[in-house]
Amino acid sequence: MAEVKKDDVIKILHTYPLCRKCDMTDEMKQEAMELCVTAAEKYADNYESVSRMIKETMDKRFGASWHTVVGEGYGFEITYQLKHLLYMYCAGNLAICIWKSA
Amino acid sequence: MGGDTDIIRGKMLLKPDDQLQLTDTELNEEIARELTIKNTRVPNNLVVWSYHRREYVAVPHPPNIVTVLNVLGTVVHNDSEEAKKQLVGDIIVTEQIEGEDKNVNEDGKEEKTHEESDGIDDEEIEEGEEDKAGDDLIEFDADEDNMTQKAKKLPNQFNFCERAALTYPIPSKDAWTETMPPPTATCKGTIHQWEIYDNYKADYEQHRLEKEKERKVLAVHKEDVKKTTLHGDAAMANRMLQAAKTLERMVNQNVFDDILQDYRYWDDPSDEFKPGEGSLLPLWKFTYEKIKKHDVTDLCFNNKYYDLFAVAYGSMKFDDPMPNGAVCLYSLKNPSFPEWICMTDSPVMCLDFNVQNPYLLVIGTMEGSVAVYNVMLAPTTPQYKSNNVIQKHAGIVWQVCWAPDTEEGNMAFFSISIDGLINYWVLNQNELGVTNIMTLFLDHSPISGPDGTKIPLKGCGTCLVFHPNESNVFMVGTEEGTIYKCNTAYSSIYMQTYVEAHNMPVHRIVFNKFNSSIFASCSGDWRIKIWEDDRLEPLFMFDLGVSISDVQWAPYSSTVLACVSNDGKVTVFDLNVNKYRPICSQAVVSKRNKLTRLAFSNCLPFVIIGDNKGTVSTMKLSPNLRLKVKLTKKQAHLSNYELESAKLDKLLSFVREPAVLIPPKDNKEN
Repeated sequence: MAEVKKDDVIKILHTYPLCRKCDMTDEMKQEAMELCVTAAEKYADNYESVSRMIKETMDKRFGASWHTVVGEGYGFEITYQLKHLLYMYCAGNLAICIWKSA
Repeated sequence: MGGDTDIIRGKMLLKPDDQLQLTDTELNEEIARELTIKNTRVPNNLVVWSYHRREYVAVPHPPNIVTVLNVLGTVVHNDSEEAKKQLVGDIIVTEQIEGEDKNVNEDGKEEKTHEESDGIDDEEIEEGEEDKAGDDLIEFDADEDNMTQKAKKLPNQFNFCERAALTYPIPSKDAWTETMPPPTATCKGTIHQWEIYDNYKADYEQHRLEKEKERKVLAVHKEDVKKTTLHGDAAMANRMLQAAKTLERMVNQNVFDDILQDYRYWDDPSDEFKPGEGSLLPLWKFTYEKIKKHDVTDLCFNNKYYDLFAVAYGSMKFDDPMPNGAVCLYSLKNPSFPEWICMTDSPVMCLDFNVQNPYLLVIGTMEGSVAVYNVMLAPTTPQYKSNNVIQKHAGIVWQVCWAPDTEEGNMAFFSISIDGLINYWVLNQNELGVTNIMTLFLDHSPISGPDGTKIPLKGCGTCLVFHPNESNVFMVGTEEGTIYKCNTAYSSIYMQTYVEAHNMPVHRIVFNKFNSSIFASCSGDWRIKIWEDDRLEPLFMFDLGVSISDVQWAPYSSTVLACVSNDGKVTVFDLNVNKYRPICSQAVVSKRNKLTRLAFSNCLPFVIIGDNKGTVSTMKLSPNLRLKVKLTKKQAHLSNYELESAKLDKLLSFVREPAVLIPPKDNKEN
């Protein structure tokens, strides 16, 4: 991990949620991002629980068939329903991708 | 065969040709044939080699029975073991039942037992007492003959009946539709820790830059902010005002919808049945809360906007005048609030809209000053105002009226005041220029002043009107009741003097709209007089029995004039219809209130009437009050103006005929 490298320059570890790609409506986006942050904080040691919580909550809030991927390193290529994709970083080392596809 | 021969008796027997011919004896010979159980064709010496015994052994005879078909039946022989078992089992079940029916059972009729068993339940109850006897009988039966007990009802598993009904099948059909699947897109990416780190870094950098820029912008624009917001506020407020005004009009239109409809479309249908009489329909009332106690001192319609009129608020109570006044512009489109309000320091007594520049409004006040307002601007300050020290009149300005532009192109107006001066004001670049046109000296010898000087007496001008065609000629009315015909060219002599035209102050002089030699005057002496130029006696005279404050000719007819009086009534005359009596006299306000001013709308059949409570009432004229001249075939080519003039001329010819006409003495009981 790059940020662990000791250097004379001070490395800052950012932990704020950073949205990489999103085509949701503003309302949905805000809610989804808050949910991701909450979930990541709640189950900091278990990504499976994180993704389960996100998926279940999103299903309840915005209708069925949400998919969630949580991890520190992975690749993905997905087909999603327009206006229902959020791909964000959070907690500095976690990438969360949620999308809806029925 | 014997039987057959009986049937075919008497018929020819067909025989084959080669049939053996036998004699009768031969035919009757008995031939015996023996049947044995032994099958002669079966070999009886069959042997088989036995390896066991190492010799041939005889095979036993094959049986004589050849089984062709073997079907297992359910019929059981009566005497067989199984039948007995079945019978015994049934007895146990039915022993009580069978008791008393022994005789029947003995007959061995199964059908009967069926019927009996149906009725068993009932009989059981009836014959409970005989149970004992029944038991005995069964024992006896069993002893005597078990076989007779076959009357038991064997369960018959095939004894059932089936009922079915077929209903109509409900027809069904398929229907389906296909919807478009929600639009989708694909997204791909790979995530590594270093990627996350890089993205965070880039994002943070961008944020930092933006913040810095903002800070710079803020610093630069800090001074401008105040200015721009202020500017923006003013523009915004202006736009808001515009929007609010529109909304207010819309609300008013909804609230006063019925009045609006009446105003445009309603005509009193009863007019058809009372020729020579008309009525007034009250429409809106215009008031403004802050000036409720003022008198309406003048009314003037705008020349360009027919729905816009100006109202002067002043005071007619000269013993206790109001300290201030106001000018309000009202629109018929908004009856609830003035369009333009201008409060003045002194009560406003008169006003006039310019015809060419309909935004210019000149007013005269009680203190003697005149002012010109541009109603397009805010009503805070007048555009022109007379100098209070050297220019102003010494008393109430009773009337102002616009004059034709000067040769230099400046606008100008006249004013008449109670101090006996008629002034001509010119709107110069920055200020008003004033010229005295005429001083109304009375035809009376000067009286001696306190220190021996002679003071000429001046008349008190109350009204002023210019000749419609000759811009130099004007008429002046005074408090003394005299009417002067003057010319701006001569400041010292009168062209004509109508001495004692009235006995009380003349309140208004108006020229006829169609014939400029005819004018009407009204006065506090209860009378309206209609004059012709150069004729010292009035052509018509009407006495209403109450002080008349205003009179106006109708713009649409040469013979209609309306006046308002101090008893709160509006009176309308149509000389063509009735030369002696009004065709309409209607109270607008209660009797205690006075009406002060009246104005005809220029293009629509309604009048506005001001009273001494600061209210302006709008009244619609009924059809009888605005009769048009009836066209004859000869007159078809004439315009309305010519027709109206002709109507008036014809009327006047009746009145004029005798050179010295004594007006008919007023014989109205009023």
